[in-house]
Amino acid sequence: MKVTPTSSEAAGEATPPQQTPAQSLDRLFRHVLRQGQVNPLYFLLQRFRQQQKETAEHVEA
Amino acid sequence: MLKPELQHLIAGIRDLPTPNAVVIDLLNSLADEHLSGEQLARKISQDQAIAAKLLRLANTSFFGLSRQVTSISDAVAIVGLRSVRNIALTAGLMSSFDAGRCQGFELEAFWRHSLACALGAEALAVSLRMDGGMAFGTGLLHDMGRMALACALPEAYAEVLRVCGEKDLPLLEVEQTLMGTDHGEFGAALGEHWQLARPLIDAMALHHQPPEQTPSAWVDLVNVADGMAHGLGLDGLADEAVAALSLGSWKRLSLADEEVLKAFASVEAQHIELCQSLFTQEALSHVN
Repeated sequence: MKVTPTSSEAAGEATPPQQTPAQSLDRLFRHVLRQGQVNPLYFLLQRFRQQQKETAEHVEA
Repeated sequence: MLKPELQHLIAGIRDLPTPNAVVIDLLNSLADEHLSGEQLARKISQDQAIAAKLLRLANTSFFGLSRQVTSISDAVAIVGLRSVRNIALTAGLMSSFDAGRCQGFELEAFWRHSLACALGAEALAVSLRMDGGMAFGTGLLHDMGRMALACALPEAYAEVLRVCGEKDLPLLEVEQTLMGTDHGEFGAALGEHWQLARPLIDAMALHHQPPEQTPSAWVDLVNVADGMAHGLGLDGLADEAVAALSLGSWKRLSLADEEVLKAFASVEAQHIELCQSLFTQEALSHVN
């Protein structure tokens, strides 16, 4: 289903739906994962999202 | 060139709106290493709509300037030639097309992705010591074949988008099955029609299938930047999906992990700021 972003989403202000970063990545890479393709960007993005999460937790603490 | 059996589609390309002369001039200037700030300011000033948008953007928080920018020359001097050209190009191209007749074609999402790919290509190019301006242009234009198909064959392309959404299949695969062509091939024909520089046409044509035999660094760069942009989920659509990455391109670019991680952060940050400024009704209104 296509979802047209609202103006706040388009502005990048909205938080993603209730998905963990790993779930979001699996969703974005679903065609690649389904076909069993290797994609180094997938692993680097996992690292990137993990780093972002750790930074956010550190700031909160 | 389109396959001989698809030459009739060229008529569709000829009927498409051509970006105005200033946009074409800016695209051609990507290959000009000697372009001066003064020449660039003169080019942009020829189009009042682009000039006005540029000045509005230059005065947003994105550039964090301490004083008001009031002329294009000012903007070039303060913001920098490359950034000014990138913004003018984006604003000019965005105003040149309307795919409204193609049901399911999300114009804003299209430009959000193109911009993300442009920023990604630029960030990677800088770390590879390639020309950042040309990288931005290749990223910005890489999917113009999608726009061209949506404008030239709105009903047929709406069916492609419908099947993609319903069956959750990769776009390229459905385009080839239903239309006998794809946005790479169609984009290349458009680029030839506009007489663009070769790196831009190559990136439009081959970003999903970079050749192993005669590789082009620009094509490799856009293949990776396209994956990066989709991987960061920046088009804003619920059904966004990353296309296959060319491992040949990935190996040839030899990007260090840390450089790619830095590029992710930079693209996300810049994308938010630029989208805030670009995606207003005014920005999407027509120049032509």
